Amino acid sequence: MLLEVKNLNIEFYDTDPPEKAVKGISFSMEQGEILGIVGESGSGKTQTALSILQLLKSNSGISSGEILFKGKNLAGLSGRELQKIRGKEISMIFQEPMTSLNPVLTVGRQVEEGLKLHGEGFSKEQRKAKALDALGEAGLPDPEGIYGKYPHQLSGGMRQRVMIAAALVTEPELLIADEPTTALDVTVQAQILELLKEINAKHGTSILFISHDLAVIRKLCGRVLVMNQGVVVEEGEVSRVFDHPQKDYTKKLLAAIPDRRRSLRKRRRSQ
Amino acid sequence: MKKKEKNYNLILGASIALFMFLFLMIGVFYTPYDPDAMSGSAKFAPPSLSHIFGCDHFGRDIFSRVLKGTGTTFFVASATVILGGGIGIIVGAFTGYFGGWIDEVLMRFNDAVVSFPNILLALVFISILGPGKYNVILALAIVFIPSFARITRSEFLSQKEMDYVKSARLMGVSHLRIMFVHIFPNILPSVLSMAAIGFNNAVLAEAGMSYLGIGVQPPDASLGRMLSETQTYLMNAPWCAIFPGLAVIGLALGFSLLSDGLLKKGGK
Repeated sequence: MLLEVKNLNIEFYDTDPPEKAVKGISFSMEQGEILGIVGESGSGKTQTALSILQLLKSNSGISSGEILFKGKNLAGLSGRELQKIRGKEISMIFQEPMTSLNPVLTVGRQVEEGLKLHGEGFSKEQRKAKALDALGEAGLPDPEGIYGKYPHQLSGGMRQRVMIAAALVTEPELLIADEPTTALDVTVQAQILELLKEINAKHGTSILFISHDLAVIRKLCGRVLVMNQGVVVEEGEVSRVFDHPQKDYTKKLLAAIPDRRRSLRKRRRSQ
Repeated sequence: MKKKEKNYNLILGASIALFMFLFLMIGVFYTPYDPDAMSGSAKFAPPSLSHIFGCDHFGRDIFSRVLKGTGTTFFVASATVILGGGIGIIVGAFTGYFGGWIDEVLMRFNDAVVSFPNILLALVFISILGPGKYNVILALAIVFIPSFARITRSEFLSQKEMDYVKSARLMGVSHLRIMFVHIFPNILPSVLSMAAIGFNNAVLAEAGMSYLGIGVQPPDASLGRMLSETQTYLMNAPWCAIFPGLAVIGLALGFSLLSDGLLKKGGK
């Protein structure tokens, strides 16, 4: 078992009494698995992801529960111990490739940052070689050229690839992807999904993929959690959940996907 | 896309500042006369080929004294900005980035310092420390800390919410490294412009304090001191005051334009 979340509760302290964002969810992930979490905005999926790395904002926190990563409870670690896990064993990529990169540092420097922090004893040349490898593996053409560029010189899709390269350069065991394709257009989305699949197959990197997009989840994940209002509504193999949903909420969610044929029929009928 | 405009403030400011800098560098290595040498026969000599800026009431060559004085003023102003700015930036970075009680304590202290007029506060410090070049630097630096701290703090406040900071945290970057390796380069334009404004203020403050006689002490030449010494003779020998005045204007204008230009360049 790579990751095990047990009875996790997350609260926002802004209000009195505190508002519960995540209410006692539990799930687990095997090594090499791609697990999807799907849900609408405010369902608590991002909070869950952030809590794994203990990166909740100061106005929220874990009120109870355990997050076991390879048997270690992440919720009980000190800042320094967490720093060793972040970026080394667990990496994360986000929704906003446009702003997640530091605008004034070159792409190469940012990809190397993880190695500088965690890759003990790499020389400058080794770091550069590794960064170039990672950029190439992330599907960026001409890694040498991109290495010296600044984020504003790249397109959104390329930036997301840079983020992926930076996340994977340290060869983490778990990659948390929080809506990494939402801000991208559909063709680039498909390419990024392909890339994540490849990485998963090649390195056995486990991926926790968070999205509100059912189609994306279906394409990528093996297993899926459906979340609503802070609880797990349904859990299971993607094909089972999508083809034979058991719960009303899942059915409604699936019905909400716009279907081209159905809407055409509707329009004809109304004419 | 907006058409790229020429940044005249930056060009002009940088050229004036560079010119003043070259001017004072000449003074470091060469002055046509000994700036402190008095000459009874040259008293109030008007500008001429041998004394191009004329001579003052002791017959000292004003050109040589302006060269040296600009150097002194520049040194005091730079040291003030480096010292005050350095401390201010560190204070601002910590308070802005971490917030919480450190922020409260340091910023209230800051407010207390700011609530006194700058020059007055500097005067208080001078009266405690005693006059002199280095004490002026210290006093001005203390007075300048709050403005640097405030601007840095506000920059850090907005930068720390950016996604790139979050992703740096995710990579396991320590707070200190995020502050100075990741965030600091992003606020560099504001810092530079802030330093230029600070320099500008320091030039005027040093000139003002020397004018009041509590700054640089004689026989060191300083622009403010030259102005105060010669104001009595303003009507009879205007060159005694005009040239040091021009040097002050050159320094202040150059760095003020430079700071405007830097701000524009930073896109603010």
